[in-house]
Amino acid sequence: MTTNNDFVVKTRVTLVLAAAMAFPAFAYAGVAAPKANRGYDVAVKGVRKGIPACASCHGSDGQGRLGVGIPRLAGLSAFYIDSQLRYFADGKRVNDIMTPYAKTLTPAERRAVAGYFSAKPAKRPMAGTGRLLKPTEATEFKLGQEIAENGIWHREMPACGLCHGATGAGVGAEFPALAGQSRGYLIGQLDAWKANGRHTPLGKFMRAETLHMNHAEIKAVATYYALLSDNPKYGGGSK
Amino acid sequence: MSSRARTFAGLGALAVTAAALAISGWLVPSRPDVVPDAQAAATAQQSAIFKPPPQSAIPNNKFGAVVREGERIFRHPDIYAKQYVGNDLRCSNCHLGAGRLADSAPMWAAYAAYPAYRSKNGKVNSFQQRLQGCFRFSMNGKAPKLGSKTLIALESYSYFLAKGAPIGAKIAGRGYPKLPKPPLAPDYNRGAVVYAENCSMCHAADGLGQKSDGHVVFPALWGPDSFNWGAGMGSIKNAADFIHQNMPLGLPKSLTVQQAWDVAMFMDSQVRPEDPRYLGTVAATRAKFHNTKFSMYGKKVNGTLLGEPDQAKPEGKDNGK
Repeated sequence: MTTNNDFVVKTRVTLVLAAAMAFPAFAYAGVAAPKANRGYDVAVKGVRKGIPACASCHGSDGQGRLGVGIPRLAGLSAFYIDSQLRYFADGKRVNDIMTPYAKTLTPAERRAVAGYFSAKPAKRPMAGTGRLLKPTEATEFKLGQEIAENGIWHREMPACGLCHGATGAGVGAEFPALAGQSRGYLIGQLDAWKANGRHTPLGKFMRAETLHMNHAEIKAVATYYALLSDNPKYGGGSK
Repeated sequence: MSSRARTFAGLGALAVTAAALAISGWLVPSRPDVVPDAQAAATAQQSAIFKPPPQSAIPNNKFGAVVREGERIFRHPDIYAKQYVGNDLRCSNCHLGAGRLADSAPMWAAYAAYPAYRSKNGKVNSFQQRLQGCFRFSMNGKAPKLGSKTLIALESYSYFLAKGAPIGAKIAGRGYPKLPKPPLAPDYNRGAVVYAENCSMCHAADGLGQKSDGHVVFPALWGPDSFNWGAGMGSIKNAADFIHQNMPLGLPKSLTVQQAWDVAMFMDSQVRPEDPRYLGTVAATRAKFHNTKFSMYGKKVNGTLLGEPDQAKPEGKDNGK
């Protein structure tokens, strides 16, 4: 039994490695292995006069300030963070604070800071708190869970989990983790897609999804993912 | 169309003579069993499409418990029927919306259509027998015994979904809508471009799919963890019908008819687990089970004779874990 399991694991690892080698986004992590100091400098110390370091808003551990809509960066793939900085710089994404800042970063600095934050573990704020949902939260959570797990098929809208993972942990380099992300940030981005405000390569998918959703549904999905933790009470581990 | 795609389209034009020779083959009507009659679905008005009862209508009694078990198996056969599953696929990968979505081979339409004659095995099949085929081929596993808990649960779930559907009659939304014939014969190289641009970000460049938190999110389209050579999706026609109607997720029907056929050709020209009906040689197996222009089984692609045993063997995966 043990031997067999070991064998299975080894086989799976081999396949994953093979996949990593064949998939540029994974291979990228190797190429982009940042110098630890440079990433820290950009993220925490700041490298441009007059512009605060990333950490002043996102935190040195990359957990963001979820309550005011500043997203968690910890645990996102380096590829994803680097891509978003590039999109801010070239106008595919627009944000009053991020756009001017991203424009000042060199490609090497972008990769370094992306590596820094992606290496930080993503915390889920609800995990282990035992806090009960308020009634309004619970109502939104339930609707959000229904959409996240089952989609709205009669509007041709697939479940969020089909691309972001059943536990909202994200997939590979391209599909970001949603579980424990800032509710305000998620609402802002879903609204932006719906208003055709994000023009990233895979954005056509998110634009299509958001066009199927009304604002109440957008808020519900954001609430669901913001509160989703490993605790089954909040949908963690549900299938 | 990207410049790369245009390049391949240009190359395709060079092959137009060959295509013209081949195209007469594409005009022959397909075997009626490969895809259930979906012509009705294509022309039917949306309002006429049957709507299965909602999840909330599952009764809280003994029957409801079996229906719920069936839905669990349908969504996660890897967990709830794992002794019968030999790959990374789920029923809901090809039957979207957990078997509810019209034109995505919904279970309510399938249930209403059985018992039915299938030329695949030359006899009238019960619904449970049809489900056995799914496990044996699409799930590359072992068929649960007739009357087993697994088949009873899946049958109960399908029966529940079909409540109120006309039994034995043609029903709109069954199977996948029949895609028109492609303007050009399907082409592997054009398909590779379609795949890279529309599919690889999810199913991965090597077709092996992607996982998250240890769970399969994007299923393997070929290789050891995908469906085997006996599965319906191994038919280029079936795959093209499914892909055009349902893929990519969120942007259904966004590929052209030609792109859907090309990428189906590409997907079905890769190695995958052997046909469990293997007759000792690839040639004999092709002659008996794959003698159609829609199967690449037994064809040589990039120097590989497709269908040879052990080409993509699931190692230690389907023997009990």
